[in-house]
Amino acid sequence: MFIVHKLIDPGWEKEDKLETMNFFETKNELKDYVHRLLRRFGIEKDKLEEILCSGFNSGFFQTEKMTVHHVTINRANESKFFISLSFLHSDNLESSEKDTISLIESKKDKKPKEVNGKHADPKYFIAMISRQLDEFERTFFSMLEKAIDRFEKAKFIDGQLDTYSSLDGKEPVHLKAAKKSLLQLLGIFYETINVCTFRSTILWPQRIKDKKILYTLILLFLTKL
Amino acid sequence: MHQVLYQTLESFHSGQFNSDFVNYTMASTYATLPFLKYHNTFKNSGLEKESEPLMDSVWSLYEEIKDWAFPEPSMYRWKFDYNRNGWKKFLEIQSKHPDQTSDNYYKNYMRQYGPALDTER
Repeated sequence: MFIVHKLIDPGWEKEDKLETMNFFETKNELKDYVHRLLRRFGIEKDKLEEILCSGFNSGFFQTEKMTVHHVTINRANESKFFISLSFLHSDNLESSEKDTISLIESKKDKKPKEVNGKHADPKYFIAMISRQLDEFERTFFSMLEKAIDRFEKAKFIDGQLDTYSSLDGKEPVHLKAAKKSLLQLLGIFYETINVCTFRSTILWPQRIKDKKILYTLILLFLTKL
Repeated sequence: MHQVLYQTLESFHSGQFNSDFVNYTMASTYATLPFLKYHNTFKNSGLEKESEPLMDSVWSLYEEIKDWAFPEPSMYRWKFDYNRNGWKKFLEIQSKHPDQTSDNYYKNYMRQYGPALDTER
């Protein structure tokens, strides 16, 4: 990871460097950036190479290599995260985060209890929704990969890419079917958004009176979306 | 939005508003035909087996509204349990009774009871 300081910034302080620096994975990317920067400052093109070359050769321009820590998201732990936020749950506030998670984990594969068709325990309900959305995401993208692969293969005839449209203007049946299944996934995606929107905006507000739980669920749905 | 509509129409619909509103919006979740279409398309392109996990997950997304999204079992009294049986069983029964659709149910209903409803008005 390489960095370049802001070249012209009178207010620049070394302490603010993370906010005012640009980061690059390679030296070439950094040099390209400086090149574009100098162009923006109005330096003529024919002088740019010489400035860059002399800048680095003289040691006036320097590159600095750093280790950067950055945050990544692990979606596998998303439901654990939401469940562990004590301020989002009005009940069971006294139990520790560990207890809550282990409770969810221990009953992960069990169906939530229902009372008159309504889920009795909001934590089960949140975990269930999270699992449903995770499962959809996983299976959808897996299927998308398979459909793309099928479509790519369908474009070849006897190992040769078929670039000619058929004389009657109709596509070969196998290609048409592969294309249809690819487009079908788009339909499934929109249908899923439709049903999830219905559940989150119409159904859940009626069934879940606890606004914090409702907020968690809608947040979960929107995050996944 | 639900609240705004409720407050606006409260004087006309009174306590009935919620059920009317839900009934109206529920109709848009009807999924038998789209679901059948997904299955047939994947089957025709030789991806039937591969599509099963996706079909499972889509089916589970209808969890709370299966009887609305797939109303035929209750309309035609199929031997189908929403809590126990899955989409494969649903499509299996559906393929045996392709004419038993939600649309046909309402058409037959109107044919049978429509004149009486007109007289009542």
